[in-house]
Amino acid sequence: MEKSIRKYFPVFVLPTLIAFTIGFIVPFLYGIFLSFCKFTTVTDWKWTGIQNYTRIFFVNGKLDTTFLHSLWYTALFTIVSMIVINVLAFAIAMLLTKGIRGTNLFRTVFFMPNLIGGIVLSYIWLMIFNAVLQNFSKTIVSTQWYAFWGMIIVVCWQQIGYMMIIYIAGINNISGDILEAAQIDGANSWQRLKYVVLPSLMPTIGTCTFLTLTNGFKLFDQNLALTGGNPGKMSQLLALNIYDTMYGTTGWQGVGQAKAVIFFILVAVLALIQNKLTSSKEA
Amino acid sequence: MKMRKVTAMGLAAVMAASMVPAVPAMAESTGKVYYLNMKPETDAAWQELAAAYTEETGVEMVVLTAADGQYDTTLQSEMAKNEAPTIFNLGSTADCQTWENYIYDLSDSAIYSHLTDKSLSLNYDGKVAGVASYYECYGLIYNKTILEGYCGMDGAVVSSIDEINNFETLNAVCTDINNRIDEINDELGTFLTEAFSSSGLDSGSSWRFSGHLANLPLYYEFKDDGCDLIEGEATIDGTYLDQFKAVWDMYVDTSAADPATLASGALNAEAEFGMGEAVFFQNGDWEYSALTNEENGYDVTADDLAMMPIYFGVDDENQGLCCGTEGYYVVNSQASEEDIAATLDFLEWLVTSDAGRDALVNKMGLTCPYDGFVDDYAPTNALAECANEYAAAGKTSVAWSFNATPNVDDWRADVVSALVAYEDGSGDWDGVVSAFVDGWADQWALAHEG
Amino acid sequence: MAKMKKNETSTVRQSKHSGLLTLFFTILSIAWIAPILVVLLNSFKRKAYIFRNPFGISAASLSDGFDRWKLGIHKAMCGLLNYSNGLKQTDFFKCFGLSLFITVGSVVAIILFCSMTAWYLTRVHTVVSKTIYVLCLFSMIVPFQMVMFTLSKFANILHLATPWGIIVVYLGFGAGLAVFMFSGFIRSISLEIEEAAFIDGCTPLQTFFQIIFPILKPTTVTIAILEAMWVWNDYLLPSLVLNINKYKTIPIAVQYLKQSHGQLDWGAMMAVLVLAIVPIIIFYLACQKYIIEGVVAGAVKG
Repeated sequence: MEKSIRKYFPVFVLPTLIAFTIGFIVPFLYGIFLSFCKFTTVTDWKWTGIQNYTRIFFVNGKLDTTFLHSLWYTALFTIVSMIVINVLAFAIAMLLTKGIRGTNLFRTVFFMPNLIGGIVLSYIWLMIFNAVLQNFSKTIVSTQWYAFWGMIIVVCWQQIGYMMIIYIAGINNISGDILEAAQIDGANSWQRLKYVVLPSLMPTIGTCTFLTLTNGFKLFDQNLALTGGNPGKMSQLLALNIYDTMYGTTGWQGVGQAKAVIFFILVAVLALIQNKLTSSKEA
Repeated sequence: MKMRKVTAMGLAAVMAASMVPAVPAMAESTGKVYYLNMKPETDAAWQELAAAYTEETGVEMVVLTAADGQYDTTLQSEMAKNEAPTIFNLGSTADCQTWENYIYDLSDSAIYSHLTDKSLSLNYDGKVAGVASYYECYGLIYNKTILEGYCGMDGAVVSSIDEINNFETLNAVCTDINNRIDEINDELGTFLTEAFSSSGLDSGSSWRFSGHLANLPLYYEFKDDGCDLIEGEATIDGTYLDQFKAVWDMYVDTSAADPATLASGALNAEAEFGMGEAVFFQNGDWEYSALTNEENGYDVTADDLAMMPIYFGVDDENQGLCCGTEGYYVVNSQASEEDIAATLDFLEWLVTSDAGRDALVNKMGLTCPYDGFVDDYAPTNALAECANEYAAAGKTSVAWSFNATPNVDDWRADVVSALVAYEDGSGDWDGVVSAFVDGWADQWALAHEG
Repeated sequence: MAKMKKNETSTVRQSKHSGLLTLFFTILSIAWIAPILVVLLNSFKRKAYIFRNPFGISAASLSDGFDRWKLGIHKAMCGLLNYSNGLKQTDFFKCFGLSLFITVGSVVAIILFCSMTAWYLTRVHTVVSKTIYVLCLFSMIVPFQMVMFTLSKFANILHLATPWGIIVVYLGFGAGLAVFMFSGFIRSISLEIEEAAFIDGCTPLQTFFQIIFPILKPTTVTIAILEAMWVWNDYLLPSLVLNINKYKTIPIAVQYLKQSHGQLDWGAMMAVLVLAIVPIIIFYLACQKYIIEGVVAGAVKG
């Protein structure tokens, strides 16, 4: 059987492979190559070695902290959004699995913002934030911290419903027998949560932390539409910082591409660590 | 270089061949015109004109208008595309350096021969790189009716608008109006809320200050230093930043907008001025069409509109409006021969045909430096008319020295950040000076490092 | 007996809590959709009054007296003016059609081609298969910024800057996740069914479309939902790849509305936001069951 399928490679694999080559393989490899070049389009490159990488940190012989700032700002944003989203989503999921009236309606409402894209969502909140903040003589870009918490609120609104759905599925999967047994053994609700619910939810928690982690790290649309990186470039997350470098200033495409390579390595490392952690927990 | 290009094209060709079903067949027989427009307010008129041109000549023509503050980005991404613009706008010789491989020499073109003032062309490397698409002037647009009404009131600082001919008087008038809003509204039946319309520091408005107002200190400093007023110099001292501060403070202090939220993007200075809530509005003659367009529902009419120089406290006696252009038509030399030919034909048609001239003058409200723009096609713009009046009165037009700004988007962004910080209290004026002066040197070094 | 009693009290307590919880969640739900309601309200308001009185309906405040307040309503509200402005400024219906076309086209392409590829890669054990599969896995962790510049340039060189072309790009960039998820499911399908089909003389194509593809349906739905949510809302990829003077998707139209007319017309923006949200809500309410199941399945497998 395998042999007869094998002949069908052009039918089954080739279309995807061609698109995959255009959409991923070639751009990826060429992207790594271009990070060592000075270029304005893909055809006029000039090899410059690691100059792009040094120019991320040193400009005009001076230390440029924009990228480093963006790096730690992104890290902080990722961690805070991960914690807030997961804690709230889990709490709502726990309460919504108690069988109260209206559960389905609430679930529907909480999940809805997830379907609205980052750009549209951010303009809704930009209007709300500025309408509220003007009473205090502030704007969402008054300081990087207004921008920070503004983005946290937006991603919470967007992702809590999504994570809640996953947690609800996980909680519903916990066997009722175990919970009942724990209850008969006299465990109070806090103990049941700690010793029964949380351990059995570990895979779900792993999934949700991973999703929120990568979502936070790769956030772009909300950053672009809500703060535009303002004030200054102080609220630029990494993805926007790369975009800004690549398309904002002529002649800096190479530096942008080099930043993108670093960004890719960070994401890859994050994914590997996460993979290690969950597989060791599950084992 | 050539080899690489060939290899890349070869690779592309192989890929393209393997993708045959997805590639639409394209007719490449005749040339096409693709204009990348940098002035958002003229977009509608351009789209109409392109359609009309295609209808009249059968030549395919598209116009893309870059979003505000996004022109450089759009230009870069569009120029790298397969169907790159055949006409695009550049603003300065610094831009020419960036795009030197894409500049077609217009010295033998028909449009250049129609250009009345050859100084309104962009010269680079011995080539005529571009011809002015229009020229504009800016200053302080004011509501003539209200200001005249104020002059007639008891205790007004001046008794006629003509007396406002220097910064000190202007400042005194604005302060007085702002302090007596209710009294003026009662007496004149107006709906004023402020003397100056808001000075928004969001991306849709901040260029009025980081670009146009900043032009004045640059201009006077370049003049002192004897360098080319448009090409500028590598370092600046900020000699006239005190005057810049005085004008800026006047804008903010005599406006009703909360200084701490100028960057929110919620303000709309044009609407404030248009609704008769403000007397002054720093902007240019291009605002004429927006202010008088009935669809916008503004209260001001063409008769209310006039413009005075931004009195700066340096040479107020001789200073006129700021006149120049940020937009030269440049033809893409990398386009195919057919496309270049079609493009040159279009440019000639643009400044000689009735439809072209009508669109430029009457629909876009532009003032064009070409010989056919007389009679029916003389500028209809009352604000542009003000520039001629000041020139006729012997005032010197201020050149657009901000065209010299290195890495213009980055430099302006830093100046705007500093202004925001200055207004919301998280920074001080030294920050603005530093962004202005040190930022200039930094960006200049970056832009010219080769 | 003691245990019984404890159980009883806890049920009683739960039902008492249950009423409170319902109340709590009702309030929370209203707060949750409040931003959308505020936008809806403001979409009928004249642009000058959106920020002057963002949460009210009148140009005057009630403290000015009821009559003035009532008069102020006429001044502040402008009916559908913002909608006609917004539609005109963004050419919204065209954008909507384009978004719909690209989303449906991409999802169909991804489902069709990736399910076929996944079956082949799972059934044929060669080095090539293994390599392609690993590359697909690898592509899932590569952020878009890594390839955005080169991808958009290649797409242009290859004439893919069109609605049809971008479907190829989406197929390429979305292949990783789809192939991975389909492969996971196919591995759980027993080989016996396929072998029986082969013995009956089915070609691989017949086997795949008549037997395998129908079995894949749950995974197909999951992938369709995940990819549709991605493509519909994607901003960066289409804005870089598409010829944006001709083709704007909804997110691009919204972003360009902000940038393209000097200071933003917040009235038009409010109207366009409402127009952008309404179809999503209708679609969501109609397909809620599938969407939520798809999300759960996707999260567990991905």
